[in-house]
Amino acid sequence: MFQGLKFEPLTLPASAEALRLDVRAFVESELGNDYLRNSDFNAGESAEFSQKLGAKGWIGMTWPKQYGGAERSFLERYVVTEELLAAGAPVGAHWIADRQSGPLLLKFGTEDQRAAYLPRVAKGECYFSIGMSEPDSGSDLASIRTSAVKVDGGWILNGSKIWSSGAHMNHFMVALVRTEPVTDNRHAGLSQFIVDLSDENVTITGIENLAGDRDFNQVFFDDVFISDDAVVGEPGNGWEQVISELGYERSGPERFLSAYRVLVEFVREVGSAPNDAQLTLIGRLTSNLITLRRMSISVAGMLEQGKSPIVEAALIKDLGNEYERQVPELLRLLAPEPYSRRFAETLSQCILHAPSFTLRGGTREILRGVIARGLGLR
Amino acid sequence: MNEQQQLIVETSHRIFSDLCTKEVVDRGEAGEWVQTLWHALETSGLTLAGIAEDAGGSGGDVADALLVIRQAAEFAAPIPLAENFIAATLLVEAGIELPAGPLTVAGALEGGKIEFSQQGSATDIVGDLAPVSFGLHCNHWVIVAENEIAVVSPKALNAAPMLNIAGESESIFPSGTSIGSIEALNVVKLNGASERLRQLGAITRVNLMCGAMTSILDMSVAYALERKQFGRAISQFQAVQQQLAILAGEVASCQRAADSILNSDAVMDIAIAKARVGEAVQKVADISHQVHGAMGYTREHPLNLRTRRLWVWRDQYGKETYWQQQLARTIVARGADALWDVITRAN
Ligand SMILES: Cc1cc2nc3c(=O)[nH]c(=O)nc-3n(C[C@H](O)[C@H](O)[C@H](O)COP(=O)(O)OP(=O)(O)OC[C@H]3O[C@@H](n4cnc5c(N)ncnc54)[C@H](O)[C@@H]3O)c2cc1C
Repeated sequence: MFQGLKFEPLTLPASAEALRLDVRAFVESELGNDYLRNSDFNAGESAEFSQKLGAKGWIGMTWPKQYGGAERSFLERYVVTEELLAAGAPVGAHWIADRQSGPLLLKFGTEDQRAAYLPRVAKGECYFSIGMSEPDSGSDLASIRTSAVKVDGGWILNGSKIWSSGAHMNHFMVALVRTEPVTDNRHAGLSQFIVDLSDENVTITGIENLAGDRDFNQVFFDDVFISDDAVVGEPGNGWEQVISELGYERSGPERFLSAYRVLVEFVREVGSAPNDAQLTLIGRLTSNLITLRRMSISVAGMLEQGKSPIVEAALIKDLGNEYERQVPELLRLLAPEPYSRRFAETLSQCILHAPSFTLRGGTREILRGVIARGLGLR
Repeated sequence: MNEQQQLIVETSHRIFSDLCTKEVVDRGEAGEWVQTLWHALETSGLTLAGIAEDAGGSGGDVADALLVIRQAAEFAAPIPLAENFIAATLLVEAGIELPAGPLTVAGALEGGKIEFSQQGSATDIVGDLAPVSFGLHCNHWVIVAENEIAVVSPKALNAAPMLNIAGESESIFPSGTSIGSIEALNVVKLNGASERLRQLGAITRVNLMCGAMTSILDMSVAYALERKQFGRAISQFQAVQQQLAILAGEVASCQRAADSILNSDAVMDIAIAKARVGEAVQKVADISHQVHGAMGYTREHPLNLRTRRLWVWRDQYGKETYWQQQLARTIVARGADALWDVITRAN
């Protein structure tokens, strides 16, 4: 019988709370008042900012010192990431490398790979893209067709990846590719490669999103040579590895904080004399947010214990994304008019980006499928 | 959960599985006092879990009591376990000896107040008393005014019995009149008594709702796996799976919110929990009933024992709106730039 998903209460240790104050002070001194704050992790990037974070030891924090890490806990990392997001800091450059490419290499990569990439990632100098989706493969990731054939000393890669966030600015991509023909087991024969995005046989074309930003790209591979030492883990083990990334990818505070700055600006707009409806809404959104955060911290605790909380992470992402989608919609109805410029800008930026919340990192429907499997329904 | 709590949960689970069947709940809802169940809990010390030993309780933490209360709600137990806990807690805090037998508790109706007014040797209880849950079955009521409490025997009061939609008996009073006049009533000072009642009321409602929701999720998943339509279990339809995934998310959120007040009675945590859990009732009832089809809409099926209770508990001791506003007042008082600090302190 199904036993329920358990999110054990966890209080952040004092060391994490002390760190919080450091991060807060740092962010305050780094970002001036005229900086447009947007708590969507994908909304802003600054190599300079990432390098400063790296110098502070706040990237790759949980990794061993020998790879440039700080050997701190997942809970401490949690505090750093949530502080940066809440403050609307430009974290886009290093985000993926810190969150999932680094941990992937740490877990499955060779000694040489760890030594080559992790210290640079931790310095905030080396950025990664996720290369999963393809034009004909989104939710059905196992159906990818980008493939590589074995040659002496490596592989020749052909095909293309799409929606690759930041690929035009990042240095590498971890691409999931087919390295053996499809068999009855669709999940077999997939591998992960580290692709150098500056390779001359890689072409990157920007795709403008509806907000008018260039954030994601299509990346074409045209006989790209991938040397054997750029294969992550065992050839053929790609599916298992890609699934293991999901616990990191889906459970973090970026899954429910994307609309947070709209709430902050709403509280500013209503000032000290909110009406009952405004109070009710502030209370509702905050009680939901605090509960999500507590659950997400529980998952950080599971990661710290070396667990692989795939279903719990899907649940947080689904609940969190639904929440993020609602925040601007509910706040706009009760915001006093006329809006200040600051509120208007934050709100409209959020509304423009909101459709992506329930798509990126696994769609709402796919997440619910993962949860349903966890419930024993499929 | 510590070892003690593990034991408490196991013991109470066994008692409820044995003695709180659908048939027993039905009898309770028909107005019967289900003595066998109460007696079993009482002799195991579970009715006074979390009440100090030197005051006549079973000792342990508040969390112990709340875990038993969750179990009771999983089984829709038609007994005043939560009321008894609140009443006993208030009595201990006021230094009043615990009377024997099940206790219930009542304070003012939302927005009103209760006063004890001395008239010669008698005390008039004046004001609008909220419906007294299980009033009919308890020989002692703790009546709560703003800063005072008293234990009264309901025989001396002008109450009329009623059933709420949870099927729980309630005692109600005609508005605006004296609730009763009692000779030599021992009225004891307890600062902030009515506020404390509201908090304890909310803490227990949250745990009751959490227990009921846990069982509703189990029932819904089990039903989906078992019910066949179009030649297969309805759990195989993606539309049903997706709804149950939403249900699981709501229930997990409520469990997490409820867990945060097992060991904390900070008003902020209570507000968050009551607001979040109360808000979830709509989706939880909606989805669980939808998945159960017409069968779940019958009195016969046990689902409604839980959903009807959720619809009552979410309204008691402050609806979501009340607690949302409480929480928001703290936020607004500190201003937009301190919002994050408020959130991160709610550990
Ligand atoms: C802003 C943004 C950034 C992104 N960044 C990256 C990135 O860096 N790297 C990367 O690899 N990808 C990235 N993605 C792609 C993202 O992972 C995909 O959008 C996602 O996996 C869904 O794939 P799709 O868009 O092809 O939609 P599809 O899979 O075609 O789905 C379309 C609709 O059908 C539904 N659907 C599909 N299959 C099922 C099913 N079995 N049951 C029920 N419903 C179903 C989906 O839920 C969705 O609603 C990004 C996407 C966005 C929006």
